[in-house]
Amino acid sequence: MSEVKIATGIDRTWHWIHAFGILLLALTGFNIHYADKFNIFGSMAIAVEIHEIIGWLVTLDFAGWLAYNIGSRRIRFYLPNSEDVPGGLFKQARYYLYGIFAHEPHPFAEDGVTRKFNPLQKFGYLGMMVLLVPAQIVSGLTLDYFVENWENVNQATLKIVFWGHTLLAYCFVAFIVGHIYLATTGETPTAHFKMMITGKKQQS
Amino acid sequence: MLKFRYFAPLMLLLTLLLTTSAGADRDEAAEAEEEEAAEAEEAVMEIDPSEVTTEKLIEWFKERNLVHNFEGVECDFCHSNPALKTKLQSPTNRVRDYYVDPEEYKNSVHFEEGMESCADCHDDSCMTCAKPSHVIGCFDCHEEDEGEQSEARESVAHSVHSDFMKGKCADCHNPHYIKRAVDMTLTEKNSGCLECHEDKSGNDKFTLAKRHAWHPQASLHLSRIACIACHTQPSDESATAFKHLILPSEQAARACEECHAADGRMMKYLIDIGEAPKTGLSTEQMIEQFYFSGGTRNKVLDKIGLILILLALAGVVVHGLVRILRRRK
Repeated sequence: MSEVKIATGIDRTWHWIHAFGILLLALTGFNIHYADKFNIFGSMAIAVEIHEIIGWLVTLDFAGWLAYNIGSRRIRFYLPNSEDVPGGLFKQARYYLYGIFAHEPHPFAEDGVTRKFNPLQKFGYLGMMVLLVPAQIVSGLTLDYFVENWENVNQATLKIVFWGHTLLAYCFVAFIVGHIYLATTGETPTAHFKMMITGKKQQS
Repeated sequence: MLKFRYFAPLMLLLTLLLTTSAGADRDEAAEAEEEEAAEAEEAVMEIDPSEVTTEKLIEWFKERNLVHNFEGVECDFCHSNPALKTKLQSPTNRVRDYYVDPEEYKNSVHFEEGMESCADCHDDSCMTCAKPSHVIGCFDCHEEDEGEQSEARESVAHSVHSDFMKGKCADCHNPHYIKRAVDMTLTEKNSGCLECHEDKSGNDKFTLAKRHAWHPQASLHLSRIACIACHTQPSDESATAFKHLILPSEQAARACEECHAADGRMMKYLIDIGEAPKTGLSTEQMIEQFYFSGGTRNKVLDKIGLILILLALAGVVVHGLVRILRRRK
């Protein structure tokens, strides 16, 4: 049994700020959207306050992720290569839909040096971090601007931005559901959770 | 002795002389009238505003022999005369406002309903008598016991304004400029309230902004929403009835979710949001016009979103169960 370093301190710090940030944003966001039915923060005003503050936190955190991964070149772990596409995608999908039940080994195990993510994870996380999260940040900052400068608001534009922001929010919640579940598909159900806290994976 | 050949040119000359002098008379008369009117307009600027009463104005015109003692003079000579505007107009443009802007009057519901001239509502008696009956009450025309106006009066009698106004419509609504609610702009709707309730002394303590400072988005809401949307309570009665029943400020809407909810009170006040009047639109169509969080949710979008989440949940539950069932003992 040996230990392999997968997630650096910065990886983990970024991840947990991001995770709890998104969670709080989702909860406050749904309080705002369903102010009459989901008033868990007591008042819409409080939900809006927290949503704004955490929104800025997640924005800064995202900038940190980008700077760190590009600066350290760890962004390479997110980028699909010829192994991943297209064959790797099918292999990984087959594993999740069949192989996992047949106790087959993981087709693409991470080693922290050449690989951190399996092919499907690469697409999922890249899509998240390069498309969905920036889109949500942009829509959120736009709405923040609208609320502060409402004299200049064009109602037609406002509507579209709100719809986009809400739809993305639902996507994020669906993602979180899948993400937390898939975290249980390591060597043991808790292996990946431990790894995101200690940074290390037990390798047999 | 005049020779025959001079006769024609002489007649021509005579005719010319006669017609031009007659024309000159006519022109002169018209000119004189115009001059008088101009003099009158200029002269009215001399009147001390505190002294303006109908009797005094008539005396004043009589003394100067202006406009032939009012024979053939229309109401608008004084009451829509821009020169008299500052003398006749009250600072609040409300009751005791004797100046009527003829263009603005044309936008009112009274003009629309066919009362196109002053005499259609006001007593057309001779001005020299100076009868006070030139002023009429709303219920001289509107039904006392039924209809919107009597509903409104009933509501005001039960409202926080009951003592103060004693049901006088004109304390808030200028009868020359009043419109149907759906045709009023936001500014027009709020003007009735702001005439008294906006602090004009410059004392910061009592401004609208200060009194609404408890609200996290006070200026946005004050600028976009009619006062009545928070200061009245929707009920099963008609909109006219509950929108005139202004409540004491302690009973005004405070909780965000009263409005920021799918079937919140805002649905009853949709025509009271935003500057432009929204005429003839259904509730659904009005919702299309603007957005506010939680109140104008896109139900289709919400359904799609919730289905996405449910699919994800269903997927992980099924997947997890199969893994549990297939686990090696």
